[in-house]
Amino acid sequence: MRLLASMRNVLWTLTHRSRVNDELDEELRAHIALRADDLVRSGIPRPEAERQARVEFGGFDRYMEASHEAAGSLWGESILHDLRFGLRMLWKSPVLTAAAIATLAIGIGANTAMFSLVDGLWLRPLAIADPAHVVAISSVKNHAASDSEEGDIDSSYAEYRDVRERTSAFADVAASSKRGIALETSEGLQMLLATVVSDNYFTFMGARPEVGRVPIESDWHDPQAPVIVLSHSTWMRVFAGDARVVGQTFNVKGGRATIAAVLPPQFRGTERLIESGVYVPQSTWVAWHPDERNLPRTDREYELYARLKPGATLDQARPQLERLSRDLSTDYPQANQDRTLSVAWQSRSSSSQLKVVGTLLLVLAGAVLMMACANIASLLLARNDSRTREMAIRYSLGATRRRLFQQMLTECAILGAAGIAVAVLLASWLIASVPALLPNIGFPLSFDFRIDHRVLLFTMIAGVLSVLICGVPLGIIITRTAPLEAARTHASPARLKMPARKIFVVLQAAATIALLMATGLLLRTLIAVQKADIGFNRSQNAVLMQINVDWEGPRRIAEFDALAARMRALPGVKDACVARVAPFALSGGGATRFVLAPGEQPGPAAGTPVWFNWVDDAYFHVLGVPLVRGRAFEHRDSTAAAPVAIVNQALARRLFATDDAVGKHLRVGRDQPQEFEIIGVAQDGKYAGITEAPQPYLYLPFTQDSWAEVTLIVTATKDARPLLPAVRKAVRDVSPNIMILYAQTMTDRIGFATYPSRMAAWLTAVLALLALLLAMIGLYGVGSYSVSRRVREIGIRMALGAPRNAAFKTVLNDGLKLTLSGILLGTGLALLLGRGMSSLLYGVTPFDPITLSGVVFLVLATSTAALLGPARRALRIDPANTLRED
Amino acid sequence: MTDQAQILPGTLDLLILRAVSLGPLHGYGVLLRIAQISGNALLIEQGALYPALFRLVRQGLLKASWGTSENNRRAKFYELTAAGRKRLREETDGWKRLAAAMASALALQSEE
Repeated sequence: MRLLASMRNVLWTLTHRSRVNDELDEELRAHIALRADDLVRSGIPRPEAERQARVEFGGFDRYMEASHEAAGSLWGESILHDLRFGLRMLWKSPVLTAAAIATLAIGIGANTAMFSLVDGLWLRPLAIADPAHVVAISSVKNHAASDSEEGDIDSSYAEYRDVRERTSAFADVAASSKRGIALETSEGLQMLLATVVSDNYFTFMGARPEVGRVPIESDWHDPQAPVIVLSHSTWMRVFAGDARVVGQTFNVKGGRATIAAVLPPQFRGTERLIESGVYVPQSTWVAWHPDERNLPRTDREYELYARLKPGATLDQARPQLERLSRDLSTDYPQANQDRTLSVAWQSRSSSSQLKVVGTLLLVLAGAVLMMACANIASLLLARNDSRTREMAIRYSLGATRRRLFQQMLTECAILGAAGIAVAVLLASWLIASVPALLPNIGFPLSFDFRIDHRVLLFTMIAGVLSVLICGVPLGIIITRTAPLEAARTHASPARLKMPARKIFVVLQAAATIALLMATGLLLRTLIAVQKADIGFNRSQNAVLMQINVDWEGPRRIAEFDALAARMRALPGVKDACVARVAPFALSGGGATRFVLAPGEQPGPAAGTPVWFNWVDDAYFHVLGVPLVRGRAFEHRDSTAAAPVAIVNQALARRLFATDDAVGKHLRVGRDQPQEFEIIGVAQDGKYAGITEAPQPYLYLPFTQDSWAEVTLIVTATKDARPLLPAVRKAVRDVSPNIMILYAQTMTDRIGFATYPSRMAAWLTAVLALLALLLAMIGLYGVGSYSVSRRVREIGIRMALGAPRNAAFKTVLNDGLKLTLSGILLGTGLALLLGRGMSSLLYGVTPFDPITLSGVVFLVLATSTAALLGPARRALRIDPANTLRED
Repeated sequence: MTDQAQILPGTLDLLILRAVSLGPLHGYGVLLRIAQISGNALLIEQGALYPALFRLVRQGLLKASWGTSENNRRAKFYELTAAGRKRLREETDGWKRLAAAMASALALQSEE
């Protein structure tokens, strides 16, 4: 309230200044007139009386001004005055001002850009109705031991119905599942990333369509034609934004669909990274795939969300879900034993890795901003040396310390405002360049990074904080200067200021060490990730094409062979094979099978889920997966022969505590396990992500069982990208009924797998280099400043016979002492930071001594370089000149 | 005018409070009243009165309102607030003690 009152006061003064002046003027004139009246009464003629009255009054303007000031309430005016004065002072030293604004803009701009990234990835509320009450429900395995188990949290559609009907804490529950569909348009087949959604989804999300009408649940009470809803980007890309497509019917695989509506551009449902191309209501999906109407409960493909009833809390929802979990595990032990439905705020359900990276980047950007502030304070301090006399004189003329302080703060605020403006420009440019940095994964990723009111608010807060951080200490230091002393001599004030500047430099060096350490660790992680043995030949060029075939049964196996053979015949192709999945698929490790441990009794809860792959006989050879024991699949492993399997080392060790598993038997399946003979042991590889711990993995031969959706792997003798169209055409030629889901090169696939490490490393590297630059500028400034202050002293020493290089050494020593203190402090910080980011590291420990010594060496070397300039200037001081001066 | 004394710094405020304590006055009236109660012994430059008046208003010791003077001119009138009356009492006591102390000290010195 007081703030409001003083703002009103300022506004009033600014708008009524002339009225205040008029009143004052009138009062003083009245005084003169009254005095003149008295004089006239004593017999003096009026003109003479008036003249005398004016003389007796004294300097009219002076008293008017003094009265004005005495009346107070001039806070607003003094701000205006300070603004004008500050602008004039800054204008007088344009280089310094530009340097300060640029430094601040870099600091704030880095923060704005980082915040925009973090906001888009994690913080910003979803563009759905009432996002604050939306929770995510996951079906968690009670004793998850491997990555594949921890990631297994989806639910079946039947389970979705149970949650919706048998809990009371939620206003409503919705479900969604990612699929692919092929839409036949006049342009040909369009592969679209589809989200199959529960029929109430659009109502749940509060989606307001851009065109058309979104289907609601009650639409399905009567049988109706299947409908789909397009995303904005699909509408623009495939239909060029033509509103007439709404209501039209198209062929899709399995049936037909009418486009009911187009969603607005910002709609992503609960996703942040991926924009679905099309939304398919569950009823539509089931109309296309009648066999999916009663999928087993073990088929867990849906993510569940719910909205809490008004007034309901998570703590009320939890026991209800726990009760339901118990009921479900009794009713459906095969699907639900050892599973608990857990609930968490949807807003918190971003991946923890993302959160660690985001927090790290924000902390680092914050550190860069602090360093920028320190540099600006340092710059302004140096400039203010020349203004100490001015300050002292103003002080002795009656300006209060508060006024001088306000003046300093105003100057910082001007810099801050300019810094914020440039920072926003800088950040929007950075944000605009983000799409170019995104990985190529076969379909468009759509992060939604932008500079909106949230980001601007953050920028303003960062700006105001930086103004306070550099303005307040500066103001205190400057106004603390003893006025009399400062007015008398111009050498003394520096005494007070050096410690502040030295502290700035030490802190900067410390922050730089910490930032460089973070960067060093992430770069080493990146190198480790890029050199990591991922269990197959990563360096070969290959095309990966996910296709869906309509061949059935034994014919499918023959056709896969024919397809691979056809690819091998293409010019530029080295080899080809077919597998259910290739490593680092978007679905992560993909589907699992339950493998029983030796001696384990079959049962509804038996076995552990293990990622698995169906592969043809060329897979190990083509992809370069080494077999440490036994043999690869061959044609003789037919349906007529005994079932065979290949395990990786991790699975062999888990089952038999040894690599030597060839000839041993393995059981797959919970209730009626099937027995496989192990014919080979493959080397451990990476399946879902490069930084994962060794995961158990199972290979089964296509010749004994197969799958309709497979990945065609075609290796090339040269660059694989030019091969893409040829492979695509060859697949079409084999059969027009093969759907190409997506195609990408192995390089792109690996690039996607290493993307998080690359991004984290490069972003921190940029921030750390900025920090290093700022720290060096700071050190250079302190060095130069101390030389300029000590010109006379050095001159005298030289005149008295001190060796020339003594001055050089002193400057270097003094500077490096600061750096060393900073390095000590920074090492401590780096250790803390390393601990916080240990989950991001791979192949390097958080306290890696090699990285630390590299970082320390880098900082020492650049510090020395930054000090060389000032030190050389000390060397060039001519004693004769300095003594003559002054 | 040689028999008039320059007023000591800080005493002008006290004189104004004292002058106004006898009834509301406009600025010129304050000046006349000071001349009257001090027996024309104090010299004040007329304009210097106003910064002091504004300062006292700002400190809440005086309040001001526009009115009409005895010879029909529009003028701003000042009167004491409760805080002003209290301040006047305190300062008067303090000043009396100081004056007595000064007087006795100076008297001692002149006898020496």
